[in-house]
Amino acid sequence: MESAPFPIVSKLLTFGRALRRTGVDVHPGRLLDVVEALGHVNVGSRDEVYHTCRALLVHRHEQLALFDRAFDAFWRGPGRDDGRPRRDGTREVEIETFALQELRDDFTGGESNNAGSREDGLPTWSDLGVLAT
Amino acid sequence: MFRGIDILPESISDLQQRLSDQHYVADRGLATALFLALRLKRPLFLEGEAGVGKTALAAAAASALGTDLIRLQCYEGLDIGHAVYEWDYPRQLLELRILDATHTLDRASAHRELYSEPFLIRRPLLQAIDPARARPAVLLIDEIDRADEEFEGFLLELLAEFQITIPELGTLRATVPPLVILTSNRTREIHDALKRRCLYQWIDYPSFDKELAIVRARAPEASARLAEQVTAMVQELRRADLYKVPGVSETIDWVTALVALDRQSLDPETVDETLGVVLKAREDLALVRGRQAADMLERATVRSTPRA
Repeated sequence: MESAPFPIVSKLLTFGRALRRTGVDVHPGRLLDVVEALGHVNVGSRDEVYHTCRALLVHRHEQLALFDRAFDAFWRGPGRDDGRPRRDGTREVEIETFALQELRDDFTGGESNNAGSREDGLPTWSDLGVLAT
Repeated sequence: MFRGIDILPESISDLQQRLSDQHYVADRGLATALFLALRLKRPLFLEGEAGVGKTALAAAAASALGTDLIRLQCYEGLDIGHAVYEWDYPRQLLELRILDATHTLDRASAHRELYSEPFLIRRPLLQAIDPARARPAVLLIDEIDRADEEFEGFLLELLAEFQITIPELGTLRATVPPLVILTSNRTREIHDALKRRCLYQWIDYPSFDKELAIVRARAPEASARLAEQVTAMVQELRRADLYKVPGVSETIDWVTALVALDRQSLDPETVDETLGVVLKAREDLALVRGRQAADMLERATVRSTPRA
């Protein structure tokens, strides 16, 4: 991992955390697999990003519905999110919203995100070093 | 990327099209998972009820990629001898007798000779990782849920290294690792350790539209009306409380049988006469045949009738 920090990694880590909270057991190593896999598909297509994440992050049939809900909330475009915690069965799930556009920017070298200085305590690139070891 | 598959699909759509050329209707999710399995060199783990087309995908993928399909059917008690390799004991014994009779028996060389490749029986897993193989094969490990857990552990190791050590011969390592497709009917849970190594895909019974597309592709000689009626009828049957729910291959078998009987459409008598093609359990036949089948046919016919 010598490449420059990609904001997408931080987003995926956040997504992974959101998934874990819903009860989907996500291993940090799998998130790195997702990063690699996204290099092979069209990240401009929500559908392809969805299927890629699902194939790598879910490995139980019972978790598919949970994953769908988390993905929906997480990758929803801006404007549709009320910014409040969502209810998922008995657990309260905070799901941060990111636009797919940002994901696309990460790959096309568009405007970069301030991944290292988030104020909301989301995992950042520097946290990744800890997780990856 | 797989070396040797020079016709690796360029995109998910390309792969989807190639599968469709093999008369396999894959939805976007399945095509994406298979595409990534090829790109990331990871096994693909397919789960779903019996008869949803898991095994058929492996066959279609091998044809679509222009390579061999090697199939390992799992069962309780499956061991290394049947999954990986075995020494051909009768042949070794025969050779030993010949050596003995011709008085050419020298202990060291006899041992070397008897445990050499001509006496080795290559089972599916060894065939798939054969170093002499120039093109990666598609290795189908079918119904892994039927094998014992110890075998699962062995498989986990094999899938990590793609090598097998035969004490008498040494270590054989795949030059080109195969595309591995595992299937499970979920008769028991498979260890997460194995599943985590794979790309996971759940395959459901197809929707009416998808199943109709499959039937049209696999039984093109059936009339449009017959194909629609049979598909709708099987979809109705899947809603009933059956002991053995019909799979897609049963739908295709039924249509094909009706074509052979020269039927252009379904009527209650034909359903009762041929229902055995699609319902394989005696209890199910007894339950459905007659009144319930007629009701189902009525609903199925309404459903399959094109809206004017």
